[in-house]
Amino acid sequence: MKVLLRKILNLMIALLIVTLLTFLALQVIPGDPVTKMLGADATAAQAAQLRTRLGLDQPVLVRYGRWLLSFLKGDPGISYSYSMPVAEMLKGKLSVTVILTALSFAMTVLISIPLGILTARSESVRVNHFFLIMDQLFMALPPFFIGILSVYLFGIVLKLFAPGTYVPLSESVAGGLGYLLLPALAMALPRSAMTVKMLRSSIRSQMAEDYVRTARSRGLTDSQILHRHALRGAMVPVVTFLAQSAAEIMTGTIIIEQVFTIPGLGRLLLSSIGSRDFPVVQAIVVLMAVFVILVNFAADLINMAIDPRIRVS
Amino acid sequence: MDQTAGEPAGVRSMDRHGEKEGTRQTFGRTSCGDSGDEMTDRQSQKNSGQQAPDLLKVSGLRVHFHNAAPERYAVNGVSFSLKRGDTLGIVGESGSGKTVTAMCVSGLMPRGKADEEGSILLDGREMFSCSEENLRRIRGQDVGVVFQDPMTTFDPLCRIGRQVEEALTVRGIPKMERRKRAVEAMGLAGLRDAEELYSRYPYELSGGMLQRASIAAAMITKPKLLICDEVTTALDVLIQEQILELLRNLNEDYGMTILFISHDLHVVKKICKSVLVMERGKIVESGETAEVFARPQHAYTKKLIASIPARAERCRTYD
Repeated sequence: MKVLLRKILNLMIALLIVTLLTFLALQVIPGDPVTKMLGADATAAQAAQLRTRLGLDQPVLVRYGRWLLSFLKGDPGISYSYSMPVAEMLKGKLSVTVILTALSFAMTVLISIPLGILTARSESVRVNHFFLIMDQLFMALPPFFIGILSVYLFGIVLKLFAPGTYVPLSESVAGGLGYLLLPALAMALPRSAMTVKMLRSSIRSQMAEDYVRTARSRGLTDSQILHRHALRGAMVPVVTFLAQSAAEIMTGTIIIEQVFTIPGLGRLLLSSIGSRDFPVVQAIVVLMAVFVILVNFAADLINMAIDPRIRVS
Repeated sequence: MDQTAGEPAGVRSMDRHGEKEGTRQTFGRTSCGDSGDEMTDRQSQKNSGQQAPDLLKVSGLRVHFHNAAPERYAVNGVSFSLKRGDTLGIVGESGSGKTVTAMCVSGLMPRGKADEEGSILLDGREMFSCSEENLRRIRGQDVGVVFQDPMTTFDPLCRIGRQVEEALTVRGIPKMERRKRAVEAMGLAGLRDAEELYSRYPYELSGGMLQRASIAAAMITKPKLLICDEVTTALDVLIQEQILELLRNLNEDYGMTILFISHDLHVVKKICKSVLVMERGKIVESGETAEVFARPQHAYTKKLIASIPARAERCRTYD
């Protein structure tokens, strides 16, 4: 229990630092929102007026404090470019990105766990060789490349879908999900390849442990040993790795949404960075950071459930 | 060199260097001793008498690992036998083949890693002709094994009780009965508060307690043979004594047959009626433990006896 409380406290501190860092980062990147909004030929007086209106004339820390307070109240501010509440702008886009991430993560787990167990158990040299080569191949392919390739192959050559015609889930669940399958797979394949490799070596090292020989001496079959013992131990590093994968996938949506023209957070983020729309950028970056931290926290909780020794140390 | 295969007197003193041979032809109750009158004697003791009296009879055992040099046998022509209720120690340095011998007897040799020759009869059943499935049935049911390091012999993520009763679990014994028998076995192995320890994790127990738990796990099916592979090596001296005491009681009170593997002759002396001394895959000396100790014939045995005098003295004070 004490360990858990300490972890939650650490989590809070990490979240606070993340918001501060993203806030500061936006202050130092070149480019001024006021110039972007008014154009190059605005007068100094106009610029100063707008600056005051946006609160940009205040010291950084004061602005951070104000922003944090309203963000905690659920109001991430008003977009500079569109003059509408950021929360409203994010609403529809957040769900697209979350579904894309969840879909891709589910694929990663569903592909890698069975394959990892299968390759770990296989004693056939040929099978192992085949998986090793496939693993290296898919690990080396970046998601955007698989994305471009599949847009070309399935969209343009085979015409199985029309690129750039994403339908929101609110209009057609099947259509929306169907459009997200390929981008999700493009992100899932490299992560699956890495997870397979990791799970495989993790299971193998567990199966070399002394306790496996003991279990064998009690008359357990290899598959009983795997399911009753080795798999649990092997999952600890894999759970941590999968949490990183979820985070990678979430941030990977920024690029894959460009490739497949999906109107999610990623596309909004890039256009907002271009127009120096700080409130929007800030909100998206913080949301992604919170996601990364929460996912890792969840992984810690799962590992605590698996390994009793983590609960006490 | 298959010195004893087919030799009816079973284990005898084998001397690689050609020193006096045969000073101790048999070693009491542990020998095969299949000579006619002895046989009748023993059969009259047993009511049925249709079966060979030996629980374990190993003859001409040779093991060659595939990755070893061509003429380098891990076990090279080892023969011995063990009667129900007896205790036999196998002593030797690491690499002498004692553990490989034990692994063969327990049916734990990894498949496809070594060539095995000879015969291992366990309760009249030839282990080498058993299918993997039958070997698996023997493991845990007929043969229980206790390993060297109690800290690594348990799955750290699995509660003690679940592991102690595991040999019953895989044999389909219902949960309540398993639990009852596990607690019983743990009590028998000298663990107080067995009920409470049942749901503890391995890291919460000391080395001595874990070794008791692993003895309980090995005994829970009441196996015909208990193999103890260096079970005291990883423990400190006081705990060693307690574990030896426990094993002695299991043998004396419950008639458990024990094959005790150790590099330490002094430990073997405390628990085994008879002993085999192995060197480089062969048995170089064998006989009743007291006899071997009193009058070691082989240079290697003398060396082993003399090897750790300081600790031997210390041990004796606990006797």
